[in-house]
Amino acid sequence: MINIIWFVILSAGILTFMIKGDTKGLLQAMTDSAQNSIELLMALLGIMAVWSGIMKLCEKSGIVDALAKILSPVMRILFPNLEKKNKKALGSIVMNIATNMMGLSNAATPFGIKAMKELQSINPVKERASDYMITFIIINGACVQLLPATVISIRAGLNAKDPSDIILPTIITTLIALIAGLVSNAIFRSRKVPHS
Amino acid sequence: MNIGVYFLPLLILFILIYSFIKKVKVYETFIEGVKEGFSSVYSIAPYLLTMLFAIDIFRKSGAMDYFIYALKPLSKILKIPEGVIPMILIKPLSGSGALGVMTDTMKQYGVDSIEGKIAAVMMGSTETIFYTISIYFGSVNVKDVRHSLKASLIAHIIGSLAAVYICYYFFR
Repeated sequence: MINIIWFVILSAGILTFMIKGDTKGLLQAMTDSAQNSIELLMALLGIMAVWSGIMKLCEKSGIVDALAKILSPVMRILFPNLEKKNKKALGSIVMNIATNMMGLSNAATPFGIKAMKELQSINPVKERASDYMITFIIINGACVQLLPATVISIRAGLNAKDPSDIILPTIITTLIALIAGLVSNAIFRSRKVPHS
Repeated sequence: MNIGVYFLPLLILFILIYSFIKKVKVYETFIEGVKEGFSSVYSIAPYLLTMLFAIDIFRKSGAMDYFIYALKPLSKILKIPEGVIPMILIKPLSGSGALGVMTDTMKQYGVDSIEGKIAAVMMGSTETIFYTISIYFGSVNVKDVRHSLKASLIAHIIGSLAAVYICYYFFR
């Protein structure tokens, strides 16, 4: 599906440039995009390295285990049997969710990738996403932010009457999105004919 | 707001002190983590560049604007203000793009307008699905993502509608 979407988005973009006769614009957009990606990656390289270092401390000191224990009742329902199969995976998932909840998406990415790597180590078919991975992606995509700090600061910057009055609507909205995601996950999974 | 400002430094300090008390070799352990961080970025780089490439071309060509225009009748039926359609479309694609669109919406319609508030709620609620899926699955070389995209998109659409109606309820 990603294949199709990528293809459609890109060819629609190129076609639009051609119809407008703006071939220069296309070249410019290509150059800019590539350059911006590299800049983003360079920024990510630094922050990711630092957060991975901090995460390693969490792992070695047992903080991850403690956090996983606190959240384990919920996690046990969402990720059945994962605790037995791979404790580190559960720990990384928990840290990813916890950092996402604080609105620290930069910090959440390294935990998320670590979680995916741990989940991959217990994935029977390496080319194919496991049920755990899909559940994790869905939760990650609709993660409750207790403090949408960036949004609040932008609203404050634009002189909103009460910059933080969007917190409660945001939390309710996210919960609805999360439930919708988990329900459709359950439906698709049960309808799915297993691959050979 | 104030609590938020101190949360991060306190968290890091806590992790550091706790690790030290637990006799973790903090310096060596940190380096170990940094190495892993480097290799993670290395493995996601091709996916990030490829995804952002298509999204940038789509946006800068103006194709996205046409797409938004085509969706106007649908937005009328669902009572979604026109001004927030760009936000619904950009959010699954790009985080920085969404931030730009949100700020733009607020400037155009007013930060306390219903459009501005809906955009803010959308910004804080769902994630950039395409980006996350390509990066996360890319980092472990999973090719078949199964129904993850479909389910995430459904969550996004329902979440977007919820954002609109919840903002109507709260702010109108």
